[in-house]
Amino acid sequence: MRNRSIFGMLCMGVLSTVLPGAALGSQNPPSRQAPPRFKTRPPSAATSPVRIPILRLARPIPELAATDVPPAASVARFIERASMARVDERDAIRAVIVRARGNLAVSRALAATVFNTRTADFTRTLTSLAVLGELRNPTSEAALTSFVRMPLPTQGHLVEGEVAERITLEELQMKAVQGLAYAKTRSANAEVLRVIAQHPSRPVRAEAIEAYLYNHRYSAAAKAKLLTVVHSDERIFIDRPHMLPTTTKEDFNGQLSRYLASHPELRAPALRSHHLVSARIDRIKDAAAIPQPNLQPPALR
Amino acid sequence: MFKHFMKIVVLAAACILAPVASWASTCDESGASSADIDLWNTHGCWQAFYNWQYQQYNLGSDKWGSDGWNDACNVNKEFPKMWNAAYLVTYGLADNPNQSFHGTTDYRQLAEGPNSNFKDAVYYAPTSDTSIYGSFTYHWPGEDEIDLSCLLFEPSDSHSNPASRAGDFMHEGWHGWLTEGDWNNGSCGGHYCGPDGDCSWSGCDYFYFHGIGAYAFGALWQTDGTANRFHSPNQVQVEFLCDVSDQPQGWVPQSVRSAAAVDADYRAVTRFINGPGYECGEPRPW
Repeated sequence: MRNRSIFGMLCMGVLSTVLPGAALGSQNPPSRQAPPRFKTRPPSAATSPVRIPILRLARPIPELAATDVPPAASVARFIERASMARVDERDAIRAVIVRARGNLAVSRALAATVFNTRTADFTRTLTSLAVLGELRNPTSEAALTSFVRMPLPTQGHLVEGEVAERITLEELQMKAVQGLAYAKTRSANAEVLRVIAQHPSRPVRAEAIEAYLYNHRYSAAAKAKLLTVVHSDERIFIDRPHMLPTTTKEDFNGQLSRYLASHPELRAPALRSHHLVSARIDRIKDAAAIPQPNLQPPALR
Repeated sequence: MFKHFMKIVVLAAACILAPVASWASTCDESGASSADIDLWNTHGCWQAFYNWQYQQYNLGSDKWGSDGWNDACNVNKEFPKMWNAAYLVTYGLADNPNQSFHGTTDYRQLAEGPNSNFKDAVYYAPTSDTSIYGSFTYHWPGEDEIDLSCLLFEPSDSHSNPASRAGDFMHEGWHGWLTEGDWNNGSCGGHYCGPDGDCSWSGCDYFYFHGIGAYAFGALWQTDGTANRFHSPNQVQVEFLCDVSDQPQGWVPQSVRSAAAVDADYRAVTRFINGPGYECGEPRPW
C-alpha cells in the first residue's frame, strides 16, 4: 500500500506561510544522497538474558512413532524437529514418516494437532499438515478431507478489505489439498475433483488443480479429466508454469512461452505514467551512477 | 486575522509533535511463530548482525523503542522479528542463476534503507494499524517511510513469519521504486482498484511475466519503459517468496520455505488482473 503524506504536504504549506522565504515550490523532490545514520542509541539485549544459541539442528531426527513416549508427545517432538529441517533432510524426514504410516494412534494424534493448533500458530500447522499429507493412510485422508471441508469464516478481522481468518484457513486448506492429491486413492482423487469444482476459495481450487496435475505427472489424460470439472474461467490454471526442484531454466522458460502464447489475455496493458517516458528513462540512466550499498553485513558464521 | 494565525500556529505545533505519537506502537508480544523460532535457532541471536542491521535498515529507538529495541535477543518482540527477517534476506538465498528469479543483491537493495538504484532512502517503523500489512509513505523533505503492521509480528496471522515479513519489505520497497520512477500503478493505495479481472482484492496489480535469466542479478530495478520489462509490487513479492521457497540456502528451515510457498501461491492467484502468476514450490506435502 502506498500513501502520499497528506499531513506532510499540509505541514509544508503551513511552513511556507510562516516562512515565506522557504524554498518549497519545486514540483519534484531534489535527489537525495545516502541518508545520514539515525542518531539513535544502539539496540541491546539488556533487559532479558542473552539467549544461548540452541542449535537443535544438530539433533538427530526422532521417530514419528516413537515407543518411549505417548503418541501425542512423539508427534509434538517430531513436528518441532521437522519444522526446522534443512533442505538436504527432506528424504530423511520422508522416510521417518513412511515408517509411521501404519500407526493409527500417531495418525490420530497428528490429526488432532492440526485442528488444535490451526488458529494459534500458522506455520506449525502448515508443518503438521505436510506430515499428515505425507503419511498417506486412511486416517490422514479422512482428517484432510474434514479439514478442506471446514467452512471459511465470513466475519473477522478485516485487512485490506479481506477477512484475515479466512485467508489463514484458505492457505492451510491449500496445504491440506496437496495431501489429498498425493494420497491418490479413489476417494481422495474424488475429493480433489470436488474441491476443484465446488470449493468456495479460488486459491484452494487453484492449488487442487496444480496438486492433481503434479500427482498425475501433468499428463494429457489428467488435463482432460480436469477440463470436465474446472470452472470455465479457471481453465488457465491447468496451463500455469511451475518450478519444481528438477525444473531447468530452459524448461521453465519454455513453459512460460507456451503459457503466454495460449493466453494472450495475460499480456499487461501499456504502462501509465505521470510524466513522459523519455524523461523517466533519463532518470534511470542517472540512477545507474548510484553506487551499490557499501556497508557490508558481517560474514556469515 | 488573529484566529487564522492561531490555526496556523496550532497546525505547526501538531507538525512538530506528531512524531511523538509513534511511541505508543505495540503489538501482541506473547509469542513467535514456529518459522521465526526455527530461523532464530540457526543464528541464536547474533549481536554483530543486528548491530549492522538496525543501521542498514534505518531503524531507530524513536520508532522501535517500545518494541524490543532493548530486548534484541527476545524473538517474541517486534525488533528481533524484524531483524530475523532481514537475516533471511541477507543470507538465505542460493542465488542460482538457473532457477532464481532475482538475486540477493536485488532483494537487499530493495529492502535496505539507503538510496540506491531501486529507490530513495527509507526508514522502517512498526504500526498498530492492523487494517493493512504494510504501507509505503512518500515524504518530502526527508526519507520515505515503510510501516510494518502488527499482523507481521503476531504468531496467529499467516503473515507472521520471516518469509512473509521480508516479502512485505519487497512489496513496500517496490512502491518506492514506482515513486522514484514516477510510475502510475493505480489510485487505490498504489494499486489498481479491484476486484478487477482475475484479481479478487481491493488493490490489484498486473503481472509482467519474465523468464529465468531475463534479469541479471542486480538488474531488477531496470525497465525499458514498457510492459515488456517491468515489475509490480505484488509480482516482486511473489518472485522473492518463490526464491525463498525454491532456491534457499540449504540451512533455511522447512517452516520458512513452506510459509513462503503458500504465501506466494495464494498471492499469485488473488492479486493480478491479467491472470495467475507462477506456481511456486513442489506441490507434494513434504
